[in-house]
Amino acid sequence: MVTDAIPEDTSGRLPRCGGFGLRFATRAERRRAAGRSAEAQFGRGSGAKAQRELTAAEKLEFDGLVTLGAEQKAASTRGMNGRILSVAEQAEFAGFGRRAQRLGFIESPFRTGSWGRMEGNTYHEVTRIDVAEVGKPGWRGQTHIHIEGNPSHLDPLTPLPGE
Amino acid sequence: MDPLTDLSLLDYLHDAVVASLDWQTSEPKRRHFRLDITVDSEAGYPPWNGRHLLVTLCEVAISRAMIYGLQSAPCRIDTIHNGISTELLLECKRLQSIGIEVPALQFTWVFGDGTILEVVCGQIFVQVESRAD
Repeated sequence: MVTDAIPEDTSGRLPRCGGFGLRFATRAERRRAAGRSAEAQFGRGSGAKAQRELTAAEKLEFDGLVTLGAEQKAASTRGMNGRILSVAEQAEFAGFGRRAQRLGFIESPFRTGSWGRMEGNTYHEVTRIDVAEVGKPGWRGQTHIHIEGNPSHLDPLTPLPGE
Repeated sequence: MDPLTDLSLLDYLHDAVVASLDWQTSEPKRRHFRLDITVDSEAGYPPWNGRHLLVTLCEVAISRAMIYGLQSAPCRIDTIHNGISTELLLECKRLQSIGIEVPALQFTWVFGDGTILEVVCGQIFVQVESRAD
């Protein structure tokens, strides 16, 4: 049985644990395990890719510093400095995402809430939702969307191109 | 030009378009980041609304970035948080432990394209250039 509940034993020696065969995973072991797990889920070669794409919160979990619940995993973001979404914020992103997906847009590989299309090797944003951050002034404190070619901040219910 | 003292004003840079981010190394003893940006016309802070700004992050002590370049839409500022990641904080502490003075301003600039720039610097200067249109 391998656990990372206690800081890693860098020496690699087995501590005395009352004969339960318990030892602590080293960081390298946890990293290898995460790679194997990603490969089992996404296919060979995806382990390293999965490690590159971890969010800040996931990195903390990966390093054994926190344990994320299923809800937190679902609510973590990409390209937003590890922002963890509340249930309400998650619903705003998800609702907008469903609309964008129906229109054939894909989500940015770099940032949660940005939808557009790939042009060769390049991502082109067509629309984006900025979900309000509590306590921020100006438009960062109000949920709004952007649509390509329209310089204003738009109400989230504004029809997207093609709707 | 005086340094920016009310750092909460940086919140009004949401959606500012970034034309360039320069790493300036020409001064012999100090290095700076300079951002050439155009503030959104609806930013909510009249002195900056629609203006072209040069934002200089002076005396950078340490910085770290994850930059995504394979994109064609304009690069915009999403949000600027106080504070930096644990990893960079630990590096600051390491520098301090060997007697290097690390300045107090610690920011994480998050851009709308997923780019993230963490900076520890001494001061911020904002130069208002002109109305963008």
